[in-house]
Formats: sequence, structure tokens, C-alpha cells
Amino acid sequence: MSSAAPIVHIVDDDESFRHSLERLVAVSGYRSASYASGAALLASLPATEPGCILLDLNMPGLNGLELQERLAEAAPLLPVVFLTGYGDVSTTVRAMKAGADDFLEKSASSNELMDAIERAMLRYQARAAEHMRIAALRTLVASLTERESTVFDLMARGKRNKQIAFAIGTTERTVKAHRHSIMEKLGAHSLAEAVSIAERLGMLDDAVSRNK
Amino acid sequence: MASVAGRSFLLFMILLWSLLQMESAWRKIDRCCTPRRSSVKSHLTEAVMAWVCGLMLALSGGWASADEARTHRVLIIYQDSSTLPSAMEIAHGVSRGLGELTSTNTELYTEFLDSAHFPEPTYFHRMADMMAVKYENVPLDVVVALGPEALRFLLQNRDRIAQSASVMFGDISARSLERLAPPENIGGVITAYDINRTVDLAIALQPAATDIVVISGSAEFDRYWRESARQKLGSQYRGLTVDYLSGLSLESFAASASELSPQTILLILTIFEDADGRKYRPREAVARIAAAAGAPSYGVHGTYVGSGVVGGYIATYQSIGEDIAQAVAKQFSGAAPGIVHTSNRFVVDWRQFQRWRLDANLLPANVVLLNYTPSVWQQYRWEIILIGAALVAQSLAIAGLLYERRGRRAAEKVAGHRLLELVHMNQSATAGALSASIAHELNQPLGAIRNNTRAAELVLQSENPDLELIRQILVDIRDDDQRASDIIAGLREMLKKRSDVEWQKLDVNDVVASALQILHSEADRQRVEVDFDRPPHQLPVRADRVHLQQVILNLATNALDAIREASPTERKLMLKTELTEPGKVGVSIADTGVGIPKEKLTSVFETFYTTKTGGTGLGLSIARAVVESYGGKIWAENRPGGGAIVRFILPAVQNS
Repeated sequence: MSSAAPIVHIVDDDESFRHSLERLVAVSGYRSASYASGAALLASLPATEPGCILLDLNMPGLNGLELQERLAEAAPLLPVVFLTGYGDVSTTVRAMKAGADDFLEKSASSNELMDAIERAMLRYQARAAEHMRIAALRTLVASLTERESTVFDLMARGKRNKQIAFAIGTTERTVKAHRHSIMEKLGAHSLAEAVSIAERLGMLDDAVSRNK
Repeated sequence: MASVAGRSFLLFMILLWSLLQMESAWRKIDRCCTPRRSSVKSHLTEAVMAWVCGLMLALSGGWASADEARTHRVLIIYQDSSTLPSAMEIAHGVSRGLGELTSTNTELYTEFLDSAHFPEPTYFHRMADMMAVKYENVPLDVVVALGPEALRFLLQNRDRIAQSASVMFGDISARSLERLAPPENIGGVITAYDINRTVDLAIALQPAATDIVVISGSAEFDRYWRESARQKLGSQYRGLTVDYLSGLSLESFAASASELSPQTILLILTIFEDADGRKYRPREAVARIAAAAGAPSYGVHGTYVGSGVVGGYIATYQSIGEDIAQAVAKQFSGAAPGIVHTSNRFVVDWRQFQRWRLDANLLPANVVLLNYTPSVWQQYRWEIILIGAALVAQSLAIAGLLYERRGRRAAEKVAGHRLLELVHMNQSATAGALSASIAHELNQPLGAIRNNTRAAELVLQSENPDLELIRQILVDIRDDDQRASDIIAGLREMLKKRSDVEWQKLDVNDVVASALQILHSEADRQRVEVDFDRPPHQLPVRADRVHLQQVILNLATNALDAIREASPTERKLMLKTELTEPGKVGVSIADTGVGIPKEKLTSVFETFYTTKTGGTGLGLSIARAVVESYGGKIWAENRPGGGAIVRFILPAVQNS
């Protein structure tokens, strides 16, 4: 991870407003990158560096929802702060639909704006940390053997040893040995902990849908 | 009087006719919305020319008539040159007198001896030879010699020039005549000099006069005159003391005269020679004294009047001429030749009269005023009254027509005002509808200013403030402030309440661009892409900028509404300006909205027709009213790919 200051990505078609934001962000200790349109942002978004996106919602040809989808793919960790010149209902709804992390009117004070950027940065850190933790857990789960992985899946769904043994066609004793090995590999001290890991990795959601 | 009445009647009829002409010209002006200058001008010219012709015809005289009779032949020999004013006046008097007095045909011959310039006897002899040849075959009836030299010449050469003709004389004093001793059988007119009545005139004009000063020169002739005056006036005349001034040089005469008070009467006799022995023509000497005198001067000689004296009881040269004509006419009628005196009159030089500020009420009844310019009123009273009356009538007629026209104008103006007010209301409504996007538009520069100010604060709080950065920030703030005030100025221009339509030459491209400037933010908000297709050259029309802009705003906001209603995938507003055909500027505004049902394509322009819940139904009808008021046309169509197109055309203005 880079030690440099986080980047604020500014997307606004109004040049002078964009420029003033860049400047404010720069003197506030961030790095800035600016884009005249959503397309320009998507074209050159560096996914790895920490930062956030300031996006003007009222730009010609901008489809907020579509941009949001593309951003979720390209830079899922970057929080998006929406800026709008209008405080009306339809715009707000549009911003919410587009997945706004934060929503500010352009008439907001510079302090509010900087606060919003700061919150976005904290959110980025939280997201990044969560992302890291999940990645670590994934590594642990990946270290299980195929059979262990199956046992872990059934275990997380609350199956008893006998049921698991029946499901995979082995003895209860063998299942017990697998469980032990699994608990050791995942560093879990109780069944509840192991289930929590499975839940955070989203393994249970799949199972639910599979069962239906 | 009869001729005046006849003339006046003719004049009146012609004026009446020209009046009718003018009236019809005015009617034509009245009928044309845009005056067709050339035709109106020709009508007016016609009327004015008729008027002038009538005037000239009416003012010119009647018809001359001639009657046939026996022809009399008269030769008049003048002593002086033909260019001398006195000779010309006498000649004028003679011909006028003969014209009035004789019913016969008179042939008038004249000879000018110019004896003052050519006094040599040889010249006279040759002159006589020449005239003998000249008149050899002319049966002269009468020969008149004017002036003593002419009479002397005639008496000497009578046999050779006009043996059978009667001889007459004129412009000669009794004394000169006595010296020439003419034969008994010739008659003529003696110029009379009247010292007493001249002084009487002076006393009449100067009732407050205290004394009389009589000036005369040192020549023998001058002395004769002085003695004559002494006999007639004495030392006391009608209660006024009479002083005689003589034996001085001309300069001394002038100096003495200048010291006289205005209560003095200055009578100047003759000065042929002064005390220094210098010789003068009396008239010139008199002119010098009269010019310098401190009192009004008078003289008994006709030549003096006009040279600076106020006047006298004298014979004018014209009256001498008339008297001679009378004598000649008498001769024609067969009367015996006789000697008469000129019929003298009181003659006053109006210029001198005014110089001394004398009272016109004191003028004798039968006075002859020289150099008097009668007022135009006195000369042309009837003509002036009639022309005045005609002018008044004309003016009244014109005033009436103008009043009528003004009424129509006022009605038009009221209608114009209605439209103006309607457009203004429409503008306000548009501004209201666009307020959100206008606020957004304003928020951009204001937000930028805010950000820049905060950034500047942060820079200044740092240990080493970057002043160059501060400078850049200030420049940006200034630019954004300018942008904000431009937006407000544009809005104010759009909302300005105006009392009159401002016709001006406009480039339609500019107007469309300025309308889009107002609209672009709203289009952005509705995520509508705006496309403006314009030719590179100007498209000039004559119209009111705000009106035209409002038409485009109305059509474009309608288009935006239609797009919003339809929510199509392609959200486009397409404007196009072009020269549709020579002399026609076309503007079209197309959208990708809902379109217009086929049967509604014409009714959309009707007042209060609306399909929108918040619509007033005025936008398109106002657009039509404005376009039509500029001589244009507006209509709607459906776009092949979906949506509507509204087009309008305006007459193009020639680029000059």
C-alpha cells in the first residue's frame, strides 16, 4: 500500500468549480485527480490507491446507475460522495439509487465538504481493513482440503457429525478428525467462530439459495 | 380691385384643388402599413407643384391689350449718360407718362449726349452729323431736350436733326433757360425750386426746431442762391431765427454742421465751389455735410434727396419725366406750346427719416417716400390673406388626418403593448420554470468562489504561504464573480419590463445561442443533449432581441417537457438555423419527445391549448403572435424518428 496521501477523484463538467475543488483538496493535504465526465473517470481510474470520488450528479449524458455498477466493478472500495446543484426530491432519489455514500449540495460550505471527504476517507479505511480481513480468511479457507472444505460447509450449516458422515459416506469418527483439523487450520476455538467465518465469506448465502 | 378679386378667385380654386391632392396623398400614406415612399412622394410632389403653379399664375398680371392708332415719333435727347440714375429715372417717367397719357402709338427714340464727360464742340458737331443721318428717314414729331446742355445742342443743330419737329425742353432751371434764350415758339417744363415749402416741410417734421441754418458755397451761382434764400426767408422765418453760413471750406462746413443740435433745421443750397476755391458737384458736397451734420438737413434740389438730406419740396426725376410726357401729350393733341413748371412734391428719404427718428405721423399727406420698402403685408395683403386661409384650411385637414392616424397608431400601440405585456408575463413564467437550473447555474461560480476562499485561508494559515497560489486563487475568484454577475445580468435582461419594442438587426444564430445559454443548465438537469446546427455566416433579421429569444425559449422548453414526458432512451434537443430560401431565415427546433397527434398540429398554436398539467397554453400562441408580428410564419410537424419539430421563418434583412 502506498504511503502517499489519499486521492480525491473529482468528476465535474464545470471547469472552474472542478478547479476550485482540486485546489481546496490539495491545500487540505490530499492528492487530487479530476475528470470532466464519468466516462473519463472510468477510463483512468487507479483501483489500488486509497481515496474517494466526488461526483457531480448533474452532468450531461451521465447515467448514475450505470456509473455506479461500473465503479463497483472497477473500484469497489472507493466511496462516492455525490454533489448536486439541486436539492430537490427527484435528484436525491436519483443519487440514492445510484448508491450514494454521501450526498451534498453544491451550496454546502467548504467545511461540510471537507468533512464529507474525511468521512469518505475513513470509510475507505474501514472498507480496506474489512477487505483485508476477508482476504486473510479466504486464504485460511483455501488451505482446507477438498473433503475438509465439504465438511466445513456442512458443519457451518449446523449438521451433526452423524449427518455429515452419512452425507459424505464415511464414519462419524473420520468426520470428527476432519473437524479437528478444520478448527486448527482456521484458528477457530469454537463452532460459533467457525460458523461466523463461513458467514463473513458469504458461504451460507450460496447454500441457502442452493437449497431452495 | 376687380383684377385682384379675379386673381384671388383663381388662386383660391387652385389652392382648393391642390388641397384635395394633398389630402388624397395623405390618405394613401394612411392606407399603407409600411409607407411606399416613392409613390407617396410623387403624389405629394404633384400637389405641391400644382400649388406653386397656381400661386404663380395668380400673382402674375392680367392680359395686355393693344389698340391701333396713328404713330407719333418722339426723340428725347438727354444731356447725361444713359447710366446716370437721374437720366434713367427721367426716362422711366417719360415712358410711363406717355404710356398712360396717349391712346396713340408712340415710338420713342433716345440719345444720350454725356456732355459731362465729352464737353468738346467737335464732339457735339460730330454727334449732330450722326443724328442727322440716323433720323434722316424718321419723321419725328417732337424732339425733347433734357438738361441745359441738351437744349443748347438742340437749338444749335435743330435744322439738321429735326427740321419739322416741334422742340421741347425739360430738366432745366428758370435761370438756365433764361441764359439760353430759346425762341418763343418752343415749350417745355421748367424745374421749380421752392425754398419756402422745403423749410415748411422741415418745420412740419421737426415741430421742436429752434433755428434754421442755411449753407451755401462761394461760387457765383451759390451766391445767387443765397440771395434768393435771404429774400424768401429773411432773418426770421415762422418764428425761427435764420442764420446764413457761407464763405467756408467744405471741411469747415462739415465741422460746423456737426456741431449743430438736432433741434436745428439745416438747409443746404448749392456748393459749386468753397472758400478755398475748390470746385464740387453740389450733390457730393451735400452728401459730405449731411453725413457729418448734427441736425437733419434739407435741400431744394432733386439730386440731394438720396444723398443724405431728409427731403424737400422738390420735383423727383420721375415726376419731371412724367411732366414732360404730359407736355408732349399736350403737343400731340395740337395745343400751342407753352412753358410749365414741374409739379413739385414733398419728398422724403425714408432712410434719413429713420436716421433722425422722426415721427411718421408728422409726414404731410401727399408725401413721396423714397427708398421706402413697403411691408410685404401692404404689398400683397389679399394674396396673403387667401394663402393664409388656404394654409389654415390645409393645416386643419392635415391635422384632422393626423389625428385620425394617431388614433389608429394608438390602437396599434395598445395592441403592441398587450403583446409586450404578454411576452413579459411569458418571460417571467419561463424564468420561474427555469429557476432551479438558474440557481444551479449560479451555484457553480458561487461554489467555486467558496472553495477558493477556503483554500486561500488554508494557504495563509500555513507557515510559508504560497503567494503565487494566492494570486491565482484571486484571479479565479474574480473570474467566477464575473461569471455570476453575467448570469444575473442575462436574467435581468430577460426579465426587464420594457415599454416599447426595440427593432434592431439581429443575427438569428446569436439569439439562438443566447437562448441556449439560458437553457443549457436546465437541459443538463434533464440530461438532455443539445445540438445546435448553424451555418457559419450570419442570418440577419429585423426584430426585437428579447421577443425572438422568448420564442426560442418557449419552443425549446416545450421540447424539453415533451422529452421528459416520453422518457426516451435518446434524449436530444436539436436546433437548426438556415437560409431556407432566398430572403427567408428559418429556425427549427426538434425533439425526441412524445410528438404531436396529427390532428392537433395546427391547434397547438391556439391560445390556452395545452396538454401539460402545469401548462398555461400560452407559450406556442405567444410564439406565433411574435413571429407573425415580424412578418413571419410558424408551424409544427412530427419528426420521422419520433418527436416533434416546430419551424418558423422570418424575412431576412439584406446585409449592407
